[in-house]
Amino acid sequence: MTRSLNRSSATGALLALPLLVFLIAAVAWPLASLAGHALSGPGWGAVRQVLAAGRYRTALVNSLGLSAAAAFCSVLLAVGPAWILARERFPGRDALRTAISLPLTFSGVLVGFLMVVLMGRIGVIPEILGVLTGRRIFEGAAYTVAGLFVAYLYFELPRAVMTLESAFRRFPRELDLAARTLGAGPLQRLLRVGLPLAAPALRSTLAVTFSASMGSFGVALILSRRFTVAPLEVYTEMTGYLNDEVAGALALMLAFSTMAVDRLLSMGKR
Amino acid sequence: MRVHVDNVSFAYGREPVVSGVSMELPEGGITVVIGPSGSGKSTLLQLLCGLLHPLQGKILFDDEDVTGVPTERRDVGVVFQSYALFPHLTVRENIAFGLQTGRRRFSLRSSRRRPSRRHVEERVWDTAALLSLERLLDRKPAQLSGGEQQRVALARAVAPRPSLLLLDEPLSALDARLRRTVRAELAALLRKLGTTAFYVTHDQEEAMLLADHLLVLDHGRVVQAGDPLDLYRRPQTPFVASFLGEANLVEVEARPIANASSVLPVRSQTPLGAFVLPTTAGGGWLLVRPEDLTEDPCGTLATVGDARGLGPHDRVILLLENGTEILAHFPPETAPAPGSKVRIGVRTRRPHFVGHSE
Amino acid sequence: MSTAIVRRAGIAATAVLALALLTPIVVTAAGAFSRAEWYGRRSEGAEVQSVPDLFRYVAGIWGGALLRSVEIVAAVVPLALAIGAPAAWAFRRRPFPGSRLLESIALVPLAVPGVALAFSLIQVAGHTPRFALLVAGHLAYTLPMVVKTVTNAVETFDPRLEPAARSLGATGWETAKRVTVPLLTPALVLSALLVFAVSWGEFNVSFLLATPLVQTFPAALYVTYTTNSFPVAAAATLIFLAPVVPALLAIQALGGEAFHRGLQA
Repeated sequence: MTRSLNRSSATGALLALPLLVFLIAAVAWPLASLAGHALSGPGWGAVRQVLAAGRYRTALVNSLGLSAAAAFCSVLLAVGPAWILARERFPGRDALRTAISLPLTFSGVLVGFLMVVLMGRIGVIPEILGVLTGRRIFEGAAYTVAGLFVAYLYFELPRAVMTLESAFRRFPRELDLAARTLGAGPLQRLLRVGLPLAAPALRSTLAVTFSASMGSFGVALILSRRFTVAPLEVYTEMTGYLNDEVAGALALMLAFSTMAVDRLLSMGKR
Repeated sequence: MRVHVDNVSFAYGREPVVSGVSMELPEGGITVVIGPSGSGKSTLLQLLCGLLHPLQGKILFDDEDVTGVPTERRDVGVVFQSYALFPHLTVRENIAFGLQTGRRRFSLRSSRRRPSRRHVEERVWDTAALLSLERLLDRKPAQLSGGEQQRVALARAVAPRPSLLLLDEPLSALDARLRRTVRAELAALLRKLGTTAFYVTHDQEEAMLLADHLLVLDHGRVVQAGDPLDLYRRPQTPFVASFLGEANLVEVEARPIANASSVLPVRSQTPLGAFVLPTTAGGGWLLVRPEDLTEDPCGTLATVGDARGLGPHDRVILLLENGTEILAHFPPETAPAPGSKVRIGVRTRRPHFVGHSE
Repeated sequence: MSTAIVRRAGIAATAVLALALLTPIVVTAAGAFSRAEWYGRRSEGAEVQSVPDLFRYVAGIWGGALLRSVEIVAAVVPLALAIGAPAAWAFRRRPFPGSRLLESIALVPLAVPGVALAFSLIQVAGHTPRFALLVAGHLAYTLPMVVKTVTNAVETFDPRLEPAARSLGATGWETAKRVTVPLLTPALVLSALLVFAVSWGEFNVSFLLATPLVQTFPAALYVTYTTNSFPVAAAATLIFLAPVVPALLAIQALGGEAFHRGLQA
């Protein structure tokens, strides 16, 4: 029995070896090296420099704040549609699901472009509003913080809805039926059965949307003017000023904060 | 609450599941529906609680038409086969759930405002005590055994004191021994509560023990309904006869008389002896239950095929002279040896006759 | 609150959401196919006078990037499957000490911002050809999907099927070929589609690792957004979306849950 267990484990380890090698070579080692470089030198080296300087700190804080806000809002907005898609049957449901999940394939750059299409200087919305009211409202809105936020939402919502929907779908249907037989209306069922059971899924959705926002680069490239986010700073340091040290430190802090929040949110889940 | 189901039908797409079912649930009594898998029993239950709406027909609670009323507003309690306990709530919270939803009864005769916190606590405690759950109130369902979970499911359904209790094979997830104990407790509880109950099962013993009123369902139709013992002794079809216990159905030929308008029963010869039988044109079967057979020196000759002691009685397979196989129950340790010949007779003079259906 | 009303409100809200998400795309498509004079002047000059011209223009300038994207995807998809699928199967059927840990570590790259990963790759392996680095970056973000999808699939089929085949005399290879792989085919197809969709649209890592010689199409998209007129940018976007939309529809049909982690913004 022990022998077959060992053989079985050995086979398993062998099959998983390429994955392990890849993760070490392409992810763990580069990141560790990044950390090493950034933390070396007197008093935590470049990291200190980064934390001290206004611009970089601002960028990091902006990233954290915007990502957190976008994550919360998207999860909040996603709960209703996710529940409906998961539990109710109605004509056109599959079409709606497909429509909502379409933007999942869009990278940030594309989303940025779409926002410009909608709300840039000559965006669709200002044009239409201009025709209707004679005033140019929301002109250039895409390039403000609000515009960036909406772009994040556009990016996150499909993700949030689909993740929550698959979690809701896994609910044993009978629990919902049982709640109904006990007199609970739809709102009560959502609040007392659906959401508590969904709490782990909600947490992991928050983690996913937060991580995706923190990594947001394409969107920021296109839309951010006066408002800077961390990935952008890494890029400019790296390519513009060739300031590898600072770029490295920034990248490290960015990666670290994202992973930390992600781990925190995932704790308590199986 | 009296429940009247009037000619109700339901189908999944093209497949009829329940066809033209009508029944009356006596107030305060336990109505059991029994039938093979796929006979539509669970569907019937779901129609009663409103999870499904009939395609045709009406359902009346105390003369009020509830056919279109959604589940949340019907005054029913349901015990599911899988219990469906809320895993994230304690036993106490599970039981209290139905008391906190502030559901209005469909019937306007008695409005119910949301009960006070103290009232809820009292009711939870009382219900838990009824089912011996006091010690378990702060546990979560995952920490309970199967039998305990079943009691919690019952407590939860019963706590709001609904007017109709629906039970969907509540004991089928328990092992045989546990089932027997729980069955008796369940029967006692239901009678104590006096709630009208609708109980679905495929277990004949359970049905006989619990039912005040019994319905046999097959392929979505009610085959026979009435007092359980009545159905046992006088089944109207071979299906009902064999479903409610072991049955020997002995084929009997038609014995028409010259003037067929007469319905006087006639003494006829059967493989098991001469009995008084009703006259029918089509013939039918004699129903002889295994416990009705006994050794009788004046009886028919039969060869013993197999004999096995089961404990409470001996199970003996007998072969009649015309080749028919009969199952008999002999008192323990009295079974004759296989291969020997015995004379057997039927205890009653007028065994029940099941006619061929028209 | 009446069930029916809440239900209808919920469906309406969902429909509104879907509409809001689709509108920009529709407008973009319209923009590509219209003369778009109302969108402002065009900067490309007389060569671009008709709709086919638009697409030809884009293909002409960015054909190289398009090709590069195809090459990368062609490398990433098989590699991701080859590395990820056997490991995923092993996690469920041949667990070993540390397999649970490895499985959760495989998902970690999704929490690493692409910019950071790209930067660290350059730092550490600056001499490696960019193509290889790009593939590595793409793999980091697609392997988690393969692992998740395949482990889910392995969990759903009867674990006794493979030992049953062995007991009938099949060798390891034969069992894999005649039992495991056929059972996993839907999951493998789904994984391939997922990897394709993510890799095709990947921007963050690709942009940072790009050189004039090695550029992916999403990076090219960025350039059109910032330098070209709207119709050209729209046309480029449509070219980008063309392979991905069918892939997405196929993924929906096959039920791709792992996809929802998807790309980074």
